[in-house]
Amino acid sequence: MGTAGTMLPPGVSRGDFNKALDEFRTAVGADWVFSSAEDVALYRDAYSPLWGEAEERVASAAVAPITVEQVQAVVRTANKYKIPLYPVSTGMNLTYGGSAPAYSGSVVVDLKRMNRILEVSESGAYALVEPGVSYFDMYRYLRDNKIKLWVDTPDPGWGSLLGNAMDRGGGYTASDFRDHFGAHCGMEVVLGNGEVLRTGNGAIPNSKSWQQHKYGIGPWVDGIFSQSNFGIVTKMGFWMMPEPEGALQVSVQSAKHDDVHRHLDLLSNLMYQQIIPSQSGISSPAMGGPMSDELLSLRTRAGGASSAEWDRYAQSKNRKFWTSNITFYGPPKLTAAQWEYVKERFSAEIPGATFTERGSFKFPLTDAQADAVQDKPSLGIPSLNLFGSRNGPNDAPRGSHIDFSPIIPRDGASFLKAANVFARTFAAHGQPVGGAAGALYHPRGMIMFNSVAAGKDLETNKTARALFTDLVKVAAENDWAPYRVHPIWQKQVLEVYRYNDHVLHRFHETLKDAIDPAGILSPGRYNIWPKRLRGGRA
Amino acid sequence: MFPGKGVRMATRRQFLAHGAAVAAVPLVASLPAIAAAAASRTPFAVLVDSRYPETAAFAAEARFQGLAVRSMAGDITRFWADELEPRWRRGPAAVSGLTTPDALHGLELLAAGNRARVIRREAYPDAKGQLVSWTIAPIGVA
Repeated sequence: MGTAGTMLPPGVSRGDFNKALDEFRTAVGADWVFSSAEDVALYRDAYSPLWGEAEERVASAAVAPITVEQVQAVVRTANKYKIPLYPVSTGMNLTYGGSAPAYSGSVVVDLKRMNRILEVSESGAYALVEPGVSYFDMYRYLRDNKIKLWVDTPDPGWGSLLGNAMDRGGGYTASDFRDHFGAHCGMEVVLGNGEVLRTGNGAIPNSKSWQQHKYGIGPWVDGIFSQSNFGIVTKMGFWMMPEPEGALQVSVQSAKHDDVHRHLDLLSNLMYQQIIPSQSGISSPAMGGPMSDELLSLRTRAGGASSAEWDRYAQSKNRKFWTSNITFYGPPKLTAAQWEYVKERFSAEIPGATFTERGSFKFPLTDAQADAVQDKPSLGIPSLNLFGSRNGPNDAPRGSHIDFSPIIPRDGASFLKAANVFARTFAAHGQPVGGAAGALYHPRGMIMFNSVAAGKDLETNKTARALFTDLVKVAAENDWAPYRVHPIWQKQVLEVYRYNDHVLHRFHETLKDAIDPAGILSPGRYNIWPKRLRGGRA
Repeated sequence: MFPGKGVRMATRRQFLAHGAAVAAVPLVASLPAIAAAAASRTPFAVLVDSRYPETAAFAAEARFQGLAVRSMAGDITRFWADELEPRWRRGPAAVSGLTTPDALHGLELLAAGNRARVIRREAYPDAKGQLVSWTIAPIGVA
């Protein structure tokens, strides 16, 4: 492996690297430049499926600025010595690469010391934060100051608002807030040449509407900074959800295999109308559970088992076929009316649909009440209870894993096909077949998460890599691709986006050459390489 | 705690072998280094999972040694949010525990972002592999 903390950035001499480290120390203070092996090892990807192997992506050093001016100074030094940089917010992008760079030998720019909550407007329902502000920080701030806003949190709720948004993560509350990149409003970016850019109305000096109007004037450029390497985002605005008067958590179930079509269509329609406001999804109690030989045979049959076989199986196990969790927000009379309407529609259109109330809440909650909530993320409460108190036989593998997270068209036929082809792929590699579920974080897409167990041993990781590569391949054969992926597979996934001779990828690299001509920002992230590292490719 | 299971007392030797107060330092170290290492290895808190009876004796022994004990029922959220993360923001500190491997896994991942890592991890005897005793300490502490 390239040894963390002892390697040099590729193409950079020891002398130049030492000079660069000295300049970083001048810029941020000697205590905040990390170059010993022990320090730099902290930036390894704890879930790397290349752990300990020659190809593992490791950093050469790390630097932790605390102001935007310090970030600018770091970028200018990196330009001078052609040092590749890899910015991370709090480094919790686990299963998708953690804080390790996409290009070995990069210097990690660790932004977690930039942790100021710059503004929260209760009346405007927005916040402006630095990259190191975590979901827990924001939750604590809102509670301590009795601000009636919620932060939409992923699960687990570690990590940074800004970092999760830049990787297009999702949460669980209402639709305007749980698509984290979609919920941002305005950003400040240090470009590859060290200049500072503000987007949207932030380009108006002293604007009071930076966090209220996303678009500013002319082209809206914010999107090019997400899942990319065009700049280091140092501030970001977010629209926040006003604390509702109450919430009602429910679930709906349908009994038959073929109900998937109407169940998913109806659920989606009610979400598009915003009668169902929260994140939801569809999962199958029948297709999950302990994986007996009988169930494995049904799950992995070429083309899928028949509806009749599935219904017989579900009935023999006394299991519902499909279930969806939903949360309504607002005054009790409103949430009760929404729930009644949802029940009416499901009852009318899916014979045998059943309904469960999981909990009702009145806000604000006391600390003890918040602790007692089982489904915390849908109430804007960050949680770590994925570790320890929530594990069951069908949960994601304990310990290291990587997520294969393709976007599947939101319809029953696609869902069934995907559940079958991914189950077959896991089984072909001798790996446990997981449950069948689709998550509806983004406004219209559906993600089918598949966890692949990785580890710290060569054999486990060899199997993990072969399986993951095959999952990307079989998804591509069906014109599906992940919404976000570990750096090891970013090149393979970008190959799927091949329309018109990969014009999208060529456009990304055209932008890269214009915005970061020295090619120092996150080379290789999402397969965007600067000209000097393209190996002669245009 | 699981109903129907009796509380077994950990022996002092068991606690010292698997517990928090693992303050032994290399005898060759200089006196100032010994003092610094001992201070940074003494946990500011000991976390136990109260669902497991084995942790009761462990917690009692930790209290006997003057250590602050925090208990949880599998969920590390409050310990992280209310104590560990704020403590690490003030500066380096060691923390120990007797928890499930899953809870330690979560804390270990959080530790890396706070310049700390696991320096001791041992299966706890008599816990049928369900529990692990551990210490997380700042970088630079062996």
